[in-house]
Amino acid sequence: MTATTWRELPAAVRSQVAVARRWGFWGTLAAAFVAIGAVATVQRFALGLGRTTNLTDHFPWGLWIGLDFLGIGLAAAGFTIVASVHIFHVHRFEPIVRPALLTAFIGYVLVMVVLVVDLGRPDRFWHALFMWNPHSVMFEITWCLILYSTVLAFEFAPVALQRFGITAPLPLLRKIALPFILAGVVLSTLHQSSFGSLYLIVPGRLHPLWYSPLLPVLFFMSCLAAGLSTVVFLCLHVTRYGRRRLPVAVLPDLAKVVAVVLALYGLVRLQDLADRGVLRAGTLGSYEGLMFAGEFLIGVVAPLAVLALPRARRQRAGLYAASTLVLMGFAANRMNTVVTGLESWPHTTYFPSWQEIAISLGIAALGCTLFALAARYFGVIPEGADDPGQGSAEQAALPAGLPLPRRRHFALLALIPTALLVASLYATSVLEETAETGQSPPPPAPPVDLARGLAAFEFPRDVTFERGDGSPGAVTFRHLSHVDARAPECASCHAAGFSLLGRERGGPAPAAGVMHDDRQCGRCHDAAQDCGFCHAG
Amino acid sequence: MSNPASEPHTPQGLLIDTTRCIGCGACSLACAERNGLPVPDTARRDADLSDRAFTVVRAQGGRFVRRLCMHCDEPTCASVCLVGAFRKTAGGPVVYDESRCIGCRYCMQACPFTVPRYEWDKVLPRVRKCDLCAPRLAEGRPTACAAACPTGATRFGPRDALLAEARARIAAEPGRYLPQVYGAVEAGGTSVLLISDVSFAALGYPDDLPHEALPALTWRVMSQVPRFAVTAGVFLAGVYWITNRREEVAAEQGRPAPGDGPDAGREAP
Repeated sequence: MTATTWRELPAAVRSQVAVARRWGFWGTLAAAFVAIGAVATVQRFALGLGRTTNLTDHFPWGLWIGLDFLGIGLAAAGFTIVASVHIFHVHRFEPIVRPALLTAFIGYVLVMVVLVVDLGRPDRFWHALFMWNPHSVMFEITWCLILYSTVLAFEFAPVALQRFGITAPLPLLRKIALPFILAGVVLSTLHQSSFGSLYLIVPGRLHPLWYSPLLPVLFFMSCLAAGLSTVVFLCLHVTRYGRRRLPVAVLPDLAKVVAVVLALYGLVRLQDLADRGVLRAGTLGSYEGLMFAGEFLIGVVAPLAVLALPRARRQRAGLYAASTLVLMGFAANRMNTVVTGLESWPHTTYFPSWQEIAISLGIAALGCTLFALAARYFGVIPEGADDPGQGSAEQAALPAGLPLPRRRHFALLALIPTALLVASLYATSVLEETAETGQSPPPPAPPVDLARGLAAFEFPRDVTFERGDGSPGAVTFRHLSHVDARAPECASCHAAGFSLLGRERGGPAPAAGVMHDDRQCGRCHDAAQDCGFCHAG
Repeated sequence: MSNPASEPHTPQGLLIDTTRCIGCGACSLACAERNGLPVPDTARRDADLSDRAFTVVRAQGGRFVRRLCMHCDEPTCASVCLVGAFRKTAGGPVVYDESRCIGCRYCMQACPFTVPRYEWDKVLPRVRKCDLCAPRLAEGRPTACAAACPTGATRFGPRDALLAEARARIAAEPGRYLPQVYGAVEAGGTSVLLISDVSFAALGYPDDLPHEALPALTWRVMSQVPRFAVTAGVFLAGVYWITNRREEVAAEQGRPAPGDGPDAGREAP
């Protein structure tokens, strides 16, 4: 079997080179992103988080957490499609199972990479496995991530094994598949929602447009639409030259499911906001309101409008537009939750550093490249000719070979980062403005009322140092004679070397000459003068 | 880490009376001294907590007011920490075990008082915050800040006694204080209590915190996880069995399987 693999490899490489020439633009772009991302990753590990990110004490989570949310959400198709095909036995989606599994597996692996990059102590990531705190949402997420990645590996294993010609374990894998499939669906549902639960504990900090007791439900519902849209998008992309194709009805059917889930999500989202009284003019007119409106219009209203047209669902362009819109809206929702919603309190702004952006883009490019390569290598989407059982009339309705005009295609893709960039820049400028104007009328502060504090002021008790050998007598330090009781300033002396905690001790004499030193009493008192002035005891 | 056996058994705490603070900065100096931190600039009135300052005195709302870890009775940081690096001790302090920390910074994200700070400058950073002088408490001594305070603006003692004293002070001079002990119920109660004559919001303290401990918000969901997993697993297995059986029956009867038809089986969740 190895022999065939080796014999096939050059052919695969040859075809890849050929395709790479055709994919020149995307390939080059991805390679550039990965390279810059690699440089940034080296910097991040060599210099630490502080010097390579714009994260601060007031903004400890940034772009990378948003990227985790995105990656996991986009990978949601893995469990939805598997559930519909293998549990609900909706066989129409059978051809999508492999691309969905591949998307999910790559998504999960990359999210774990990002998590390790984001950890302050990446060398200790294994602590998560051995030190348990079941009260932490992060604990649940970690375990779901690990277990579900294992499940995905098992689910994808038959594809990989078949590719390498190893058929012996396949019957066994098939036999034990069901528990894995069930576990995978349950685990995914759990942690897709628990990414939302992460924020349940910050009711005062996260803006009410994004904070909701329903966060776990909303995160779950939105990931369904986003995950399916990811598969639609990737399948459109991989099949755009017609060499690989899917049964014609699959993507339009999938788009219908997206529309239904999206509509449900939109309803629950609005209903929740209305119930909590957030949908007011005051809130919606604010900067956060604008960001929410953008997120909702782009990610829910616009794709629903596109998908409502049966004609659009059957066109590649329509499907492209709808899935891209859903993904943009989803990205905006997660980024708003992670960044926008947390900028109002504590009043602060955040814009990622170039390293944060470079690593994020590099990871995204890596994910797309891995998907494209694996899709081809493992035959995840079959080669063109074998498309049995589909009428040729339907073929004509959606010619898989008809690529979208590439410039328009590129424009759509470029919209995502551009929109995010513009939104963030806008956010930063608006917040800085409000910060300036917000601070201009300071509330008339009452004067600092020292009198009450001074009335309670007590001089610390006298500190007596016993008489040492050869000393003329004991020395008693009195705060009374050193401090102006009308304006006591502890810091003027205690910051300069006189210990605050040592005064509790006092007691035995220090070594001879220590107190005459100019770091101690000797700084002001001249040891050559009247000994009895200090050594009074 | 102190030996649990020698920790005080009744929760200790601090009472901070902003009407008594003269802003001398002795607390922050003593804190820096006890923790081996750089000497703070006590002339600065707008200093913020940092990885090098576990308490600061700020001039805010016309008063001097301290910032430090509030040592919640049910700490959010301890609840969210994936590896259990934070722990509320019986004696009051919320302590941090740096040897467990993996640096996810969820504590910083979740703390209702935005207290935990990070050593951003370091390649292998730690979270830093006030530990209520847990080692000193274990020796039966008060916190360094309370021992250094010359006006009694920061008092150390058992939390119950301090709460009673705070209420007594308010009752004795109702005109002098607002009728609220901050920390008595905020975020489920804290070991650090504040009384003041100006609003706590003006002093920079969040005034919209729930009176319920925040970990309850997630536990309400987290505690459902095992039940959900079992229910969902059984439900899905049932669906599998039913749809599978339908296909088997259909195959035996020579009909097309229900899921294969063009309009059959509207989609899964």
